Amino acid sequence: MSEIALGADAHGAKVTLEPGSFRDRTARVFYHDGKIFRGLNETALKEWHALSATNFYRRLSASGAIVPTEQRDFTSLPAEARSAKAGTSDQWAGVLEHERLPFVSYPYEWSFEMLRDAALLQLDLVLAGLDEGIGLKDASAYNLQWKGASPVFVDVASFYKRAEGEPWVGYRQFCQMFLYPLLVQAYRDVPFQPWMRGSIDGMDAEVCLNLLSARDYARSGVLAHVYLQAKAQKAYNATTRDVRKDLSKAGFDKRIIKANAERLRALVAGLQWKPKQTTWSDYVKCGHYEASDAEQKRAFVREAVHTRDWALAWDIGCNVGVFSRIAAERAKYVVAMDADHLAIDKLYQALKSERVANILPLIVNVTDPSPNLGWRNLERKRIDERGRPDLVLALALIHHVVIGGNIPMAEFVEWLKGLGGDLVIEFVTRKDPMVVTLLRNKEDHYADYNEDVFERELAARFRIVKRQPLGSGTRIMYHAQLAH
Amino acid sequence: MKKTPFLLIAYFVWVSETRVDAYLDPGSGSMLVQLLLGGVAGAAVIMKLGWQRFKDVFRSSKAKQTDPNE
Repeated sequence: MSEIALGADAHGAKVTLEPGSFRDRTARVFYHDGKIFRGLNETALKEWHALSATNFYRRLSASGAIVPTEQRDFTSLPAEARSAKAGTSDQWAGVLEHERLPFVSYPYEWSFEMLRDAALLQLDLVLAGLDEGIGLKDASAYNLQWKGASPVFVDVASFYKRAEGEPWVGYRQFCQMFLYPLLVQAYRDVPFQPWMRGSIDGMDAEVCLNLLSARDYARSGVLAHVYLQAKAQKAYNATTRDVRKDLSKAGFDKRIIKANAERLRALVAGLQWKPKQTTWSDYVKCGHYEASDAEQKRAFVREAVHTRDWALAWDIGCNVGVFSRIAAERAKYVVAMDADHLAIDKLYQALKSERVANILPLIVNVTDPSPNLGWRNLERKRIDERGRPDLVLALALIHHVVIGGNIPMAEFVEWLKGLGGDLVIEFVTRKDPMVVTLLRNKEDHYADYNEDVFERELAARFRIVKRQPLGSGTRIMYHAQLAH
Repeated sequence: MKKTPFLLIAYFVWVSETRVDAYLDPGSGSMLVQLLLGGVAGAAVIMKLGWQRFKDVFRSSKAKQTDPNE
């Protein structure tokens, strides 16, 4: 249960609240009949009317940078959807409908380049808005989503008419959710995803400072955005002064925000993560496969993919996405997942340069997938509650899960069944050099890791449509459908 | 021409709001740091606020505690 049920309309279509949309009390996201809406109070509705009349909004929504949004006549919606607060007669002043994105993802599933591009879009919105008097109430990385390899800003209730004298309200949050995670990865090679997954508000200035070394103080952005900000936050933590009012009186104006945001933009654009090559991102190039095996495997996957159209495919353990691309030939949308950061970063960059709109690359470790997080454990949803696939590719994965991750074979196959889609899976036999390597330093407790057990477990849950050993003899391909 | 009245109304409705309906604390310290990063315009505001007061922000908390004037 990751949505809060409110009721249902006359046709039984449920109205559910998005449990992660509660921080800004002027608006709230809810779902009805497969559509996504945002209820607005009077203030938010005024902001929307003004915003939607600006060139800023028209330009950025036309370019796809802001999610397509329309105001709806909400008298047709059931009473529960019109109510601003469950159980009261307070009604929203207006309701917007947003285009529903194919798959929701979170910053702890993004690669370095993805978080960087999301940060740049956030800054571009701040800068473009300034010219037309528009500010952003916040700078949460969760306000950005993806359409393939393009970031999309989804929280239109974040925009407001900026009064003269207002500072950039979201600056601190921008640092916590974008800048600090990027800095620690670029300067220290510390992956930001575990930090983002561990803290819904991102990384504090103090924590970022502690992760950097003295040498890093001389590097771009550290002294001002990290050191001074950590100091200033500490010094002013308990102040009773109204700093905001003081600044407004002293003439804080948009040129200050512009100068800061432009410098931040240059800083973020210049950050680079230079990792050592990781095992899997070299996988394709290194040729763990005989050339003929690779060709047979591609043909097998393509044949299974082309049996019909698919709404959503998951390619689990996608590496650099060779098979995600094949899945995308017939799937409306493909989520390409791998635990390897560099593989996902490379895939993202390739998809971005090719402007591929139907493959979303995400960093996901299938033996430790994204859980429910945040307030009441409902704010951020576990990955399998954000859209069930009707096609699952699990190629060259099972040995990592069962031997590398110590997951019992039966549990893994059961989990795959639970995803609810057709399955294209590759079994890597014990004779395969990859399996030999995985077992070299381990006691072999993996009696369940053999072809017979695998086939038995698979056949107990799926109907095996096709089975084909690859030429080298160490790998077997299966296309399996859910047994009903 | 038809659009003008709507735009005008929208504009006046909007400018009548003077302060953001804020739910996020921008952080007092972070607001002050923005001045340092704000180029010439930021420097001008620092001058107006008073350099001495601004400097206090970045003094160590230990020095602050022993300051009899605090």
